Amino acid sequence: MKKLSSPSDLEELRNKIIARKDPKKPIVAVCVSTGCQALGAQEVLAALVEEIRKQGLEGKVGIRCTGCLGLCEGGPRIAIYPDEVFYFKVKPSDVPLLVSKTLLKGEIVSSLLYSDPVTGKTAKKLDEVPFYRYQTRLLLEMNAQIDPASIEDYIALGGYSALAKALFNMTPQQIIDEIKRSGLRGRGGGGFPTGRKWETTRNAHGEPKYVIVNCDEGDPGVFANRALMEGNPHLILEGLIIGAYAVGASEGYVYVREEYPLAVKHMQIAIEQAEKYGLLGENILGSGFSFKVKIHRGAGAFVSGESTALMNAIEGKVGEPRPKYIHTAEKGLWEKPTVLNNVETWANVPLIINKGADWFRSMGTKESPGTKIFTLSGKVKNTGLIEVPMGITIREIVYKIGGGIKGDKKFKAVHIGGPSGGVVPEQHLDTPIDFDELVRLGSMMGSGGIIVMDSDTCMVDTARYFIDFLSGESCGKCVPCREGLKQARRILEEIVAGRGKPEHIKTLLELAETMRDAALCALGQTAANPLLTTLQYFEDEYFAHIFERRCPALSCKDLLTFYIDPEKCSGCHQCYRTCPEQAIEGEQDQIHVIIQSKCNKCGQCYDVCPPEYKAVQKISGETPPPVIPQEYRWLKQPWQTAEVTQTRKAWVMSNPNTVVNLIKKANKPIIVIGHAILENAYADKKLIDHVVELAQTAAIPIIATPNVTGELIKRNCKPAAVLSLMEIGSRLVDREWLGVDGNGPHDLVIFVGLPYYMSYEIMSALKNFAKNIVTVNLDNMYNPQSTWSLPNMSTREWFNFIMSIVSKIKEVNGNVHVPRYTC
Amino acid sequence: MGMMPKEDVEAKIDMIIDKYAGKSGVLIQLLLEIQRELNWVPREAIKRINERLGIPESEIYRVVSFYTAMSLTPRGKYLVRVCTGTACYIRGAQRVLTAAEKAIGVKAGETTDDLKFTLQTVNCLGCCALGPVVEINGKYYGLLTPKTLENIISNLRGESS
Ligand SMILES: Cc1cc2nc3c(=O)[nH]c(=O)nc-3n(C[C@H](O)[C@H](O)[C@H](O)COP(=O)(O)O)c2cc1C
Ligand code: SF4
Ligand code: SF4
Ligand code: FES
Ligand code: FES
Repeated sequence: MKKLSSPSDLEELRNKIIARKDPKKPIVAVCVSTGCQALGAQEVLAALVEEIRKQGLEGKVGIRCTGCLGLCEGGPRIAIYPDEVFYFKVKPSDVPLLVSKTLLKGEIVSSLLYSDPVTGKTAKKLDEVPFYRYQTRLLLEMNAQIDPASIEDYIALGGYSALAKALFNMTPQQIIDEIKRSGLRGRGGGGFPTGRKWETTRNAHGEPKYVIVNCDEGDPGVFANRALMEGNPHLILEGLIIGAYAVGASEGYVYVREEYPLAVKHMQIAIEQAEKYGLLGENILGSGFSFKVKIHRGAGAFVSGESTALMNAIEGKVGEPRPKYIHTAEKGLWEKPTVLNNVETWANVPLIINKGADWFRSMGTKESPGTKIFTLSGKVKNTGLIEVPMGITIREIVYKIGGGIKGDKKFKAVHIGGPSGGVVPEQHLDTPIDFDELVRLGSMMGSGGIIVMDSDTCMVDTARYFIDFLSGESCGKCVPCREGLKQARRILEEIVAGRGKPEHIKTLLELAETMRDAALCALGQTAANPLLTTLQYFEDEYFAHIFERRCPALSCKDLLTFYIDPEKCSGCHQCYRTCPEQAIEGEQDQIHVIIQSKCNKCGQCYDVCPPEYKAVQKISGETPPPVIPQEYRWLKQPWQTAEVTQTRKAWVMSNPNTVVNLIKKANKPIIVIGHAILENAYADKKLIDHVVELAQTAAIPIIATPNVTGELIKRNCKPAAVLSLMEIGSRLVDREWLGVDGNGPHDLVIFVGLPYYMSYEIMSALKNFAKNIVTVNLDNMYNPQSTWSLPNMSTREWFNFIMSIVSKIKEVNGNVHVPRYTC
Repeated sequence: MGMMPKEDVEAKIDMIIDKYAGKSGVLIQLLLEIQRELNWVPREAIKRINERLGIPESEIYRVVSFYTAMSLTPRGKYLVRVCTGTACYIRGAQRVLTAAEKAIGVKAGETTDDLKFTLQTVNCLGCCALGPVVEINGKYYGLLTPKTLENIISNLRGESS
């Protein structure tokens, strides 16, 4: 490849690339960025390559591996061009269908389209997806259309035309003026006006001058810079070259953290390609301007992203900040004038040069024009990278783009800006956010991380988390930061552990003030933001921890108590098996209890208790009810638990309607009552009362054992037959028996109040020898031998179940009344 | 890689130092490369760098202990990195970490005796939208629950080494 040596060379190449491209040739763009990889994108890609080979489509279909497309939670993501079909959550097993339908026939596989979690509606176009509809994706949009390893993809989209314009149609001063007029402010957090910084460096004495890309991105919780550098490295590079020309720099550095290997790789490829094409290196595009770029891999400490620390690191020293008596724009790298800008700042430059300052100012707010990329994460439905005009409200971000709170919990706050930022509570949902508004709210743009918090997030713990993080990241060089953070961390740890003291709040405020005023670098100066904002907006949560030993969000471990609600426990034994501390007592079919002195509050029992029981309770600031004594814990007798495996087990009835329907369908139902019916009572009613009501409402005759007859008569209910259980069993099995009224055999038998072993035996016999009879076990222990059985239930659930059968039958009877038999 | 014969390790260290000898301001890059190649920064490496480049050992130790990407102890075959960055923390990373500690049998920062697993926490793996996230030898796992992580670990443990 001959180096491009004039702007017209570049245009010619661009036209050639475009002409060479067959606009009809399908391109499958696969996001292989980290998020999608975590969801299996590599496997999908491999399946795609394989399927294309199998179907003989090699050469006819292009595959493009792209950077992050934004809505990572919908990954692995695939886009198909030129038809612009966007698929979400693609699995390797979907690939054959995708190839044979969409690639070969141009049909859409609707199951792979985005489907709205609320309405279930699928979206064909990206703007039909709410996540994208409310965004302005100037910088991120290109990610889907570009293979980051291909400079030609970038050139085809107009790439490097801004560079040509800057080099040939503008003077350095004109470039600086244009950037100044655009109002572009540093995306690295502080929002310093970029044009002014460039001008300072341009006018400063000292040679050579340097330009640096800051891709340290040390905030734990954001990945916007990474996505840009992985997905579109040439855009950043083009901005950097333009900046270098404007300030008169001959050397540049791209500082990338070690943890971003793909970003390093793509930037490396981009630099090599740009050099090969004559867009970087000696005599760029024949303009006479020369500029070279090196990559510096940083080893990832948060403070290394600070400007002086970063320059120290490039110089080969430990990445700690140094005092900034003179701005780095004048005395930066190796004491020479240096422009350091964030990845996103650089990426905006080519756009401004191409489209002009006025266009840029048409977006965003007056003081903060343009768009801003945020990493949206936490407790929202849609998480990922978003690019929005400055001045958008938090409400729009959380509810329109983010789709609202996950699990429809209650919104509590957002934390904006990473460790130097702060929380913004509900009352500011409608504040338009830009650099200055955020500072007014006590937060800052910082890293552009937006973490959504719901009612389960504890604000004191959030402050503790950030202070702990910063205290680990403080380089220790200055005392206010090192000691201040250490002290603040210790106090916050005391508070979340339930040992907070009233005077702690005052001490925290004092520490915050000292750090803000006396710390050496911005890490320490802004470190108190998370603390101050949580104190300002959520003071009541601090008070609850300190005065009531209560965590309102039920999140601080030491303030929690777990106990098992005896009414709800089904004795399933799951929690017992999971508890790492052997803090749970109980055997299968017993009500379980937690021994508080052994419990370490890991919450695992809370997680495993099956949702149908939800027996484990989590409380804070209250004492749990006393543990019930051992003798009341049995849900059924221990020797009854053995269950012989059978050919078919009973279906479980979890809905009273099942019984109602069975009764309705039956020709000759009957209820069999045993003596255990007298033993169960709940809320001053006995089981027998409910069963009599059932028999009377549904007009079903009763067969009872002799010892309950008296109680039945007392309730005005005369049994149709009185027999011992053994006898009842043998009559029912006898096919010749014509039932209690002598008119014909029974087809539905409901058992209730029988000892478990008896009903087990009888129903086993019926199951095997009287297949015409449907049996229903209405006792609260699962009986596999019946046709239909209740699951294991607490007495309360059991009684409620029978009562709802009665009331449902009353409803049905309200319409048609078919008397069968009255007892 | 902790199992490489001693001479090989030394040769490798020398080879890496060769690449950087004669240049200034290279210590961090040099150490990072040793970390990448050997999976840790052994004592011999520090001694060698001191002998050959004249950088004081105390300075080298300072750098290695400052950066989380470098380790002064050997790492296991599987480096399990649990993200405790903010986005993951809010979504329950602590519980995933507890599960990892239980499944692997060591605390964060430690390596199992059989050098099979090293468990670490990291500040962010860059796919915060999918928290909680865990990275094991370069492969990322998103939207994790304590249970799925336990399964992943037991699969790795089960495979023949
Ligand atoms: C502790 C700390 C960490 C920082 N981390 C980053 C970072 O990761 N990326 C970044 O671009 N700027 C970071 N900054 C801000 C930089 O010091 C600097 O202001 C910025 O890179 C300038 O670029 P901009 O004007 O384009 O924003 C950090 C500042 C501090 C105090
Ligand atoms: S919280 Fe943990 S330790 Fe306590 S009872 Fe439940 S499982 Fe056991
Ligand atoms: S129902 Fe819940 S509390 Fe009771 S034994 Fe099962 S898991 Fe434990
Ligand atoms: S990583 Fe694929 S969409 Fe973000
Ligand atoms: S916070 Fe866990 S991946 Fe970013």
